[in-house]
Amino acid sequence: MLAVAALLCSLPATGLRVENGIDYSRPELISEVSRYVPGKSFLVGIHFTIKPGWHVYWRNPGDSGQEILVTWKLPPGWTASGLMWPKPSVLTDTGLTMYVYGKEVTLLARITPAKSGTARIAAHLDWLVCKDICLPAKKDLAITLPSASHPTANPRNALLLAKVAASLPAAKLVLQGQAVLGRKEITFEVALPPKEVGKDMRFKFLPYDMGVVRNQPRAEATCTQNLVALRLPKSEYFNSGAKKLRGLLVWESEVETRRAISFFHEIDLVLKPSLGK
Amino acid sequence: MNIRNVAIATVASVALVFAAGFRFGGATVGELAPTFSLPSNTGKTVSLDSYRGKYVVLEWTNQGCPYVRKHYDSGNMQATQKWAKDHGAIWLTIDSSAPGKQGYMTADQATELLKSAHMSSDAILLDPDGTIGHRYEAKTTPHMFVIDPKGILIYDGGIDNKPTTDLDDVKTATNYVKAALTEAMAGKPVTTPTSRPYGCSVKYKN
Repeated sequence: MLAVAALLCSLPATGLRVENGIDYSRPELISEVSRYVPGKSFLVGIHFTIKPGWHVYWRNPGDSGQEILVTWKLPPGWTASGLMWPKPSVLTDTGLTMYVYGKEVTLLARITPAKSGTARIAAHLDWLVCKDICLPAKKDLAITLPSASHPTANPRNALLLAKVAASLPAAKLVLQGQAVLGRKEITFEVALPPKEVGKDMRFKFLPYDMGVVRNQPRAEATCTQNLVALRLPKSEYFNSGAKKLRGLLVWESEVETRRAISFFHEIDLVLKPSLGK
Repeated sequence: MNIRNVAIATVASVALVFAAGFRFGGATVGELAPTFSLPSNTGKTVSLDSYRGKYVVLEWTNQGCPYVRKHYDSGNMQATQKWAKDHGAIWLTIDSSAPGKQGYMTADQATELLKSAHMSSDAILLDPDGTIGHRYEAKTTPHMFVIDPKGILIYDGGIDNKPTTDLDDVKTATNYVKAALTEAMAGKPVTTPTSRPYGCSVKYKN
């Protein structure tokens, strides 16, 4: 009787069909090498193929959603770097702002192997895929690589991973400047590379950390030549322990051509309390 | 209308504009929670003002969302509702899903849900236009708010600190709603008055 009651309770009232996020976003683990050399690090990627209209989430999902979580399971002594995330798209929906990937995305990590022998590199993935509804998904991925005295590339993977690596924010100049923490907002000023400054500049700021600034599709900016001053409202869930403003500054600018080109750079600034009241 | 009345009316309307201005941009912890009146599942209109003198918990829901399912299938949300009720609080579950979108409920479906999910909410309030959801800037389901007996917002954020869809995580999570009520009821300041709400986006009208 109790079992029947429990079964009935677990049926969603809205008659939801049970689906799995894996039907809409498929991950694959790939390596740039087909044979590794002990002690010599190499790139691996988690490549997602995403059904049209659906999206998965960046390191900071934004106002809703969940970032892709990767837990590595490596042979003893092996290490994995932190995940390297390509620039996401900014999605706005009924007043909410999210940072997402559609179609496909490859997250990178650098693996440093220890001793030789055939090695199993495994990753447990937890993520969320959304369109008008959201579906959670989990997957265990693994590849097995033999060792060698000199590295052997996997040409197809190496090409893709090198292309992704070159497009990463970390491959670009980190912008220098300063950030001031006010009562309601964070202001910061940075110098843009002069070649990326043009007409009609429109800015976005994509925060790496939650609970620092509000997620919003546009950032208020004032430009003086290549110096740009931005005002970002503090997050309504501001984390009082926040020490830094980190994220991507993205802008469109008409440089030489008539067409607006998109630029982005990483920001990593210490938050200084404002000297005023 | 004599001059004095005009003056009063002007002051009143200016005050109203100010009040509205204040509320634009959502509910702010430490300030008066935005008032509202919404139809409930029984057809009755429920006003926040009528609960002055009591603690009130607002819970945004969408029963199709996997994060809501986590807290209902594990029994965590119902247990939190019951705990709050046993401690004298009012619990209002709010549905801001638009018709045709996931989680939208008619009054009858909401009444059925209260029973079938063994909820202890005082009512499910229907906000299909999303007016009150937007006024509170409810972002996700679940998204929780706690209001004290004076009508001041004392908590705005997630149900807990484990932003996943894993049922097992409720066992080790810190339930921020319970924590806020416990501290406030003991006359203590709320240690975590805001946290990032986590879940699916509220399925607002486009």
